[in-house]
Amino acid sequence: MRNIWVLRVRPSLSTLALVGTLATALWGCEQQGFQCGIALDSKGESVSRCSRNLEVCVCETNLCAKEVSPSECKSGFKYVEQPFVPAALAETCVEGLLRPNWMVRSDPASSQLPLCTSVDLGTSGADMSLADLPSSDAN
Amino acid sequence: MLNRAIFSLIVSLISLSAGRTLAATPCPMTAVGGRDLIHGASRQRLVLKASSCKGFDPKRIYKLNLKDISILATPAGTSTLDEIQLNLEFDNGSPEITSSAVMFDVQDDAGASLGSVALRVSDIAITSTTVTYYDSELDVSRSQVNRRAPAPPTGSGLPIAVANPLSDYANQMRASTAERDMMRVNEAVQAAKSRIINRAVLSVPTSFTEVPGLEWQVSALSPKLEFQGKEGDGQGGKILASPPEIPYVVQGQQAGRVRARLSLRKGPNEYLAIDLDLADSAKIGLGQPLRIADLVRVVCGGKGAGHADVAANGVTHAISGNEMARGRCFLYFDPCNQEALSRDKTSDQQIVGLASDPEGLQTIRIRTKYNLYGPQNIVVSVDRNGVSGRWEQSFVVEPSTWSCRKADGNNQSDEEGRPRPDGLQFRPAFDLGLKTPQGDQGGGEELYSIHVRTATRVPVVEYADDVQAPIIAGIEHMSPEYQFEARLRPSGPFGLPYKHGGHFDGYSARIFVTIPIEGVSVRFPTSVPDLKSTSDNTSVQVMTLRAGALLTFEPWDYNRGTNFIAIPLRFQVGGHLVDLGKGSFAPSFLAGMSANFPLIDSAPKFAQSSVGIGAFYELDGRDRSSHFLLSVGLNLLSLFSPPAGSSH
Repeated sequence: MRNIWVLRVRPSLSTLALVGTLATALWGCEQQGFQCGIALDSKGESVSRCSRNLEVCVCETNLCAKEVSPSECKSGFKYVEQPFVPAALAETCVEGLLRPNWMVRSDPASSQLPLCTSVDLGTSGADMSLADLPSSDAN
Repeated sequence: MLNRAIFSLIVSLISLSAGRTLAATPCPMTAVGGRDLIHGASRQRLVLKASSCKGFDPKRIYKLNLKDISILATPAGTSTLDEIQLNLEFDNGSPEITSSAVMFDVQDDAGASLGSVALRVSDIAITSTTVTYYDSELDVSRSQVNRRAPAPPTGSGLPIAVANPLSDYANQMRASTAERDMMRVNEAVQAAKSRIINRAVLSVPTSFTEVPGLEWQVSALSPKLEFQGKEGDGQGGKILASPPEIPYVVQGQQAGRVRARLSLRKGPNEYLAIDLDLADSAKIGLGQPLRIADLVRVVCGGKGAGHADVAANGVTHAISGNEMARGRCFLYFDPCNQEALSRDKTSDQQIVGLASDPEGLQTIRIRTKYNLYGPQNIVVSVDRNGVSGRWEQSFVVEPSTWSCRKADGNNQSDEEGRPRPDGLQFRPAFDLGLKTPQGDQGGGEELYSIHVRTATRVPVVEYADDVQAPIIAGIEHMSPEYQFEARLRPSGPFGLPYKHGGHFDGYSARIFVTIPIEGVSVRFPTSVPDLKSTSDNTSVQVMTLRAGALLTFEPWDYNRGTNFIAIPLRFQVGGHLVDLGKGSFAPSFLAGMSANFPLIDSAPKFAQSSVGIGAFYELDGRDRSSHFLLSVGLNLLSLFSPPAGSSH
């Protein structure tokens, strides 16, 4: 019985080009996960926000954390859940920071983006240390 | 005493003289019942009404004279002085008399005139002919009425009778004597069932039909001639009256005229005898166009092809590669493999045990069936979409000569390289190689259309049952069953091999590239790079206007040029590259399936687009996270696709 249903794929240059483009795109430009406090574009017009209540952006790790009681975490902050934080750090206490106060809180009323700037710049610009944060923002 | 004797002598002489005077006195006579003198009659009885015609002597021989014409008239024994019955004898048929009404002088053999009688001169002629036959294909009896005769000078003016299809094929077979005998039985069964009855309707002077008690009888003058009249024994018998109609059967072909003797009788008395030419000749075949719609196939493939593509009437079938341009397509007349031939269980029972010569058996069966039709003009044409001009060829087939030969060679082709579809026991009875139109260079994907028309080669009949096209010029008006139309769809340079024959004939798949434009898609869970805020929903992400490219694998019926699944599913692999709404580069890998519905059926093949509803696995290229994606959007274009049905 030669009547066999055989399928022969006839690759074309276009098909190969399609596969190549996708492979390059997929494996050539991997991005980090959710990162707060840093500009997402070259113009600094976009930033990921830690926008829920009591959340701050830990600028040293660029991860979101939420305020908790000191009894729960000595630092008073705990990283938020996945996918905003890598699995290894998700919902763990914020610890081991060189600059534990280098954090920024998102202010929805402000036109300024909650970007983490260098600590050398002091508290100028959009940087807001925890000590500088208005209590209302911290609520 | 002497005086008395002399008186008697004188009285006797006077009486004798008076008698001669009476004989010389013309009798007033008029013809009754059958007063027409019939052209071409061999014998005719003339009945004359007289009034005590004392000059008539039934023992004398009389003549009917008209100028130089003299017809011998012998009185019948039943004649009286008031009703004189004369049997007219014609040596070489009745004389040619141009006038329709003549006055004959009736004289005795001594030259004395009995009187004169006015007679009409008439004809008995065939006014129309009909053929009734059993159509085994449709299992009905049909008839062709008003069959025309070929007129002089090209024709005799007589109709051509249709002979019954008796075949001597059994004698030529390899089968044993017993088997051949059995086949003859089968043949007889078939012949009896498919008996073809010719009917000649006569015009007869009313004077013959008005006389009560007269009865027409007919007998055969030609061999192989049988009559179907009531109480007939086949060789002769009474025929129907009002109007006189002669139903007859001719067993086998007859080159000469089909002749019969027609007589009009009343009891033992014969009033008229005339020899009639019923037909110019008898030929097998009804001069009827062959119903080729279900008889013809287009078969492509052949030596080395490894398969056969078969297109029946009304079917569009795929062909692989460039078979048409390579001369690998043939027109098959294939009666031998027709399942319908096995329909007649009665005849099958007659032929049990004839397995040693199935070729002969099947040949008898198809000859018995197709002898009805006679030789055929066949016109075949091949057109191709987008190609000007056409290939056309006329040829002749004679169904009564078809033979069934068992198919040899391998499974796919015979020893001469012609393709043979799977499962066929016999070769085609007739085949013709198809060619492409002159302007066709081969290749490409455009459809070929093959059109076959048929017309009888005996243009002497006018057909019944709405078949009105005995010549080629008129066959466009014929009904569909007399035509064959099939289309061949080349699978094209991007086509894949497909299944040949069986339930899944033409099935395979097509592979092509399409450009997806997602209208709306829902991703589960949300891709992290797209999260802008911890307030964002992390479970579901709604996206719009993403574009990419998908390599598509679609179940495909190459015959119809469509997906063969009721819900037209496609399996797709590829990815999205850009987010049109944001204008950003957002690569992702997709693998899944979608149901697609064409936007425009008549769009050119490359531009065929569809609305797709899909479900995919998605690998986000930005963070290599996996997602489940539901999308609704457009699949634009069909690049590198084999031809689709909707494009034609």
